[in-house]
Order: sequence, then C-alpha cells, then structure tokens
Amino acid sequence: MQQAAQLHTPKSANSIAPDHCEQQLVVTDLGWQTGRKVILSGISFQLRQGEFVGLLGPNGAGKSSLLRCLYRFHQPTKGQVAYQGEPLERYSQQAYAQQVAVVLQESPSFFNLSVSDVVELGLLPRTSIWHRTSKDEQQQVQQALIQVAMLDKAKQGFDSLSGGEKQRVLIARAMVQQPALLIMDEPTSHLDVKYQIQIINLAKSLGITVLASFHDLNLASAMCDRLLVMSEGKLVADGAPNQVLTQPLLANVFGVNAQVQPHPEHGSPLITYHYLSGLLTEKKYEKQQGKASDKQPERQLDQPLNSTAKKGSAHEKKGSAYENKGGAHD
Amino acid sequence: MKRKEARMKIKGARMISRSSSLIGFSSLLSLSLFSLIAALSFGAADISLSQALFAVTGKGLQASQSDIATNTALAEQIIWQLRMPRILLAFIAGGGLALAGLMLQTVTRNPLADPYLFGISSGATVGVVLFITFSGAALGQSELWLSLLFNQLSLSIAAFVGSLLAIGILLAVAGSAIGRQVESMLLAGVALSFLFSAVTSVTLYFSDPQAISAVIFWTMGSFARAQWLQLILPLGLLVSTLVAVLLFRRQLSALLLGDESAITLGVNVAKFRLVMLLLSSLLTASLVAVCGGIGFVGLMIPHIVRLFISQAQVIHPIAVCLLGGLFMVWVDVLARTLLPHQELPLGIITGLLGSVFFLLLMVVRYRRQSA
Repeated sequence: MQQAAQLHTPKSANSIAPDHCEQQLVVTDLGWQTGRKVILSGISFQLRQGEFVGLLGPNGAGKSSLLRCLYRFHQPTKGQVAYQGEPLERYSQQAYAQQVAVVLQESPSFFNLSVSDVVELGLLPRTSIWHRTSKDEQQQVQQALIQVAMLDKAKQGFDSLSGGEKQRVLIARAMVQQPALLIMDEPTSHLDVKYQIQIINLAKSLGITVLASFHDLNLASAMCDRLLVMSEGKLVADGAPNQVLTQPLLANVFGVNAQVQPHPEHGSPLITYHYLSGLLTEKKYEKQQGKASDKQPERQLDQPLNSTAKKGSAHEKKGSAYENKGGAHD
Repeated sequence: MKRKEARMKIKGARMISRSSSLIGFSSLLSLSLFSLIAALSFGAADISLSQALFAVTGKGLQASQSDIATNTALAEQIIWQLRMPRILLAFIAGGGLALAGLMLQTVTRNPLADPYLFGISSGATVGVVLFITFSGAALGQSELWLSLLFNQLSLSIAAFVGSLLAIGILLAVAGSAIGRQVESMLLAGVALSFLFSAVTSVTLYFSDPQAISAVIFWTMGSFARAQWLQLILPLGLLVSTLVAVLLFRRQLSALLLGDESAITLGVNVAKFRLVMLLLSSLLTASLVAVCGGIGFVGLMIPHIVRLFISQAQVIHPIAVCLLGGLFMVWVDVLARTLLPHQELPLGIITGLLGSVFFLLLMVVRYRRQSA
C-alpha cells in the first residue's frame, strides 16, 4: 500500500514502472450510464500483472465504453476501479498516465504533427512544464521508432501514414510512456493480416499487462492469455480462450453458427464460421442441439460470469473444453 | 546496418531541418527589429531612416543631418510621441492576435478559428457603442462629447468591459460541458456574436449619424489612437500568454491528437482548454479595446508559420508572434502612406494582402509537395 501511495507524486523522467503487484487492476461492480440509458452494469474482473487479456463482444456491447472508464475518459456512475490497490480517483491525471498508456482505435491529427512529434508526446506524463527534452529522451524516442520499424518515416506527417503505420507509431508512443499497463481499443481494426499480427506481437513484446479489445475472435484466441466477453453492457464470460470460446457462447453472444476446434499449431480454439448457413438465432441453435427445453446458453448470459467459465489463469489455457462441443457442425 | 543508415539519415535530416528552422527564425527576428526602426521613417512628416535611428539610440538628431525636418525637436517629438507608440502597438497587436489565433486553432482543433471566434470583438463593439451613445446623449452632443469620444482610455475601457462580458457569458454557458466542450463553445460563440450585433444595431438605430460613423471607423481598426499608456496592458498580457504557451507547448500538441488521446497522456483537458481560452480571450480583448477589430491576422499567420515550422517546435509560437507583429507593422505603414493625407482602415489591407499572399503560398507549397 505504501508503494502504491508513492505513485501519486509525479515521478522524475528516469523513474520506471511501479513495483509489482499480483492484481494490477481490480474492477468491482462497475456501471456507467448516460442520462437514463444504461451502457455498462455489474462489471467485475481483475487484471493480473503481465497478462495479455482480450476484450470481445459484438458491436454495441460496451467494449469501448468499458475501456474509456478504465482510462478515465468516462467517470463510472457505479462501482469502483482500483489500480495497484488504490481507487482511480486518488491518482492525478498525470500520475495515472505514468502507469497506463492507451492506444486508441483512431487518432485524428490536426495541423500535421510529424511522426517523431507524436512519439515524443509519450514523454509528456513524466515531464514537468519546465522540462527540456534531453538527449537520452531523444534516443528513447528513436529507439521506440526503431522497434516499430518507423524510423525512416520519423519526419513524415502523421496524417500521411496508413492505418497500420499509425498504430505502430502510437505503440511507439506508448513505449516511450513506459507504462505498466497498456490499453488498446481495437488495435487491429482496418488492418490487413500482416499488420494485425505485427501490432499484437509488438504489444506482447513489451512484457507488460495488456488489455485490448478485438473483433477478430481467432486472433484473440491465438494471442491472448485470457478473454473477457461482453454482451449488452455486461460481462458474460471471463477465462482462458478454450474455456470461453465455445459454440454456445458464439451462438448466444455473437449470433453466429461456427465450428470450434483446437488449432493444430498452438492448441487455442480455432473458429470456423459457416457462412453459407446464415446467422444463427438462439432458437435455431436450440433446434440444432435438438433440445428445445435446454436453456443453458441463456442461463449463461444471465448468470454472473463466474459460473459460465471458471476464471483461468494465463497458464491454464490449453484445456479440453472442446470435448463436449463435437458433432454439432454442419 | 540498415537501421544504422536510417538513423544517420534521420540525424542528418533533423540537423538540416533544425538548422533551416533556426536560420529562418533568426532572420525573422532581425527583420522584425529592422522593421520596427524602419517603420519610424514612414508618415506624413518626412523623417529619414538615419534620423529615426538617431532618435531611437538616444543620441538625438544632429542639426546638420536633418535636411528636411528643419525642427529637430519636432521630429523627435513626432517619433517618440506619435510613431513609436503606434508602431509598437501595431507590433504587439499583430503578434498578440496571431498568438491568440494559434491558441484557439489548437484548443478547438479548428483551422478556421480566429481570435474573434467567441464573440469577443462584437462584445467590445457593444461596449464602445453603448459608451459613445450614452456618453454623447448625457453631454448633449456638444464639443465636450467629441473630446470625450477621443479620450481613448475611456473608450478602451468600455471595449474591454464589453469583451469581458462576452467571455463571462461564454464560460458560464459552455465552459463546464466536458465532452462537447469545443462544440458548445463554438455554437455559444456564434450565438453571442449575433446577440451582440443585434444590441449594437438597435443602439445605433436610435443614435445620431456622428456616433454611427465613429463606431464604424472604430470597428475597421486603426492604430491612430496609440498612446504609451495603452501599451502596458496588451504588452503584459502578450508576454505572459507567450510564456504560458511555451511552457505548456507539449499539452497543446497533445490536444492536436484529440481530447481522448490528450487525457490518456495526463492532460486535464477541460481545465486546460478553459485556461487557454481565458488567456487568449483576455489578450484579444485588450487589443480590440485599443485598436478595434483587425481581421485575418489571427487566422492567417499561424497557418503561414505552420508551413515552415512544425507546431510542436519550441520556436513555433515565438515565430508566430514575430511574423504577426512584422506583418502588422508594414500593414500600418501602408495604411498611413498609400493615400495622401488620409489613412486607410487596417482591415482592408490585412484582408487584401493577407488573403492573396496566403493563397499564393498554399499553391506554391502544395505544388512543391506533389512534385
């Protein structure tokens, strides 16, 4: 606790990530609403040090809103978020930015800042207004640009870059920020496969806790230690990919007819969509199962998530959750 | 090996771009100093550049050197009492309006933002109109009325109070709406401008023609009323605003990537934007109060400087101030000398010169980029 309290005072430019703590971020019964419209409710989960966690859910499920609550763009209307054991409100905006970096889905840039200008902004949380960028810090910026292979475009305008290049630059900015937690909102959307893999591997290579939202379930399955699944503003599943990505969940949450089997290479679930059989409604799914009375998928959605999928640690993901799902393919 | 090459390349490119920025910046600085002295020699009374230089350096004019200005004391008086405060005011006004424009364009992320965006000049106009109308009516339209009209300090105070009123209403209406802060401020600013214009029109409708012409002349902008005393407030505000912009330049750059991104970099966006808005508004109000509404400088100068120096660089805001000041000094020289025995309103020249120059620069720049 004493260590966490130290975080509130702005650190010098040379200071580094906080002391380790098993539960880095704890979200308890979080809710957020605009006016009367409830966007998020009853969300509880924890992020442990060093985990790479994927946040999944269909459009409008509340993924971005949840992430916004975590990086303090939205103020939760209910519940609490604690970072390193301290409620977020106790952190100043700057102190929190020293710990948590964010890569947004789309970053507009006005008046054409250069790539190196954008990356240099990563130094902002750790510097006072009197601070002059030192040679060391300039090297740090350069090093980050090298890591994301953008050094040759350092002087180019940020606006002139492609989507993938922009994401890489923003990851370089996050590297310069030296955070202990990285939040990414759909970092792979609009990117081709090569850049999707590149971006995620880059984030993984940082060796810090990462929470990222995804639309590509196979990518999330292959790359994440743990998955959180949201539907209609609620968290409906939390666990290792092989515990979470099951056929009933895909049918209920995403409304798709898909086959789930272990990936031959890494063992995580590989989802094959049945494009020609159309979308899967809940009824259609029940019919397919031949058990109209079996309401298990609905129960899964309504129940608190702990009973849906046992919370898996980062290391227990290669399980045998596929065994019960066989035989339901087209 | 490739990385090393790229790093060397970047280092080289950075050094070249930095040195070219520095060369540009130092030539802008020396050009500004030269202009401040050279502009002293333009005007109705013929005073040469060397005479002006003598007057500024404090050595006084030599009788033998003043061929045309026969009365040395008179020439010195013209320089120190009329031209010097006027030129300094032009420089401060140009620099101040350009800086305010830069700040507003940055915090609203709107390339069309200018210092009068939030109804500040229309607020000042209301102050001036009400002052001229009511002080004139109270004093029975006498000669005393005219002397009061030209008592510039009271006119400036009226304009400043009008601007402060506009800022106060704007902050009360839109200041706290985080999330839609920019949008609500822009809309409130436009609505306020219309409101103040309506008040101005109604007041002028019931005023006499003399008051109307005085108000119209005031709104077109002029440095003719410049006095030493009037320089204090605008200069103080310009210096303190420039210092604030230099200190918070990283936060300003962070805003250019959007509010959400700036928050994740530790900027308290809502508060920061309000402080920047307040500073730029006070600076604008102090200038509008002294020299009326001068358009286009605040909009154009930051864009011109951006074409040469990146906004994230430390020298950018200083270069904006210098170029704004330099531009305004020469616009004032043109206003004084283009027509014999009369002055052109500044707004006409800034609009004409500025827009043509800006368009040419854009065409040349974009052609070079696409080549």
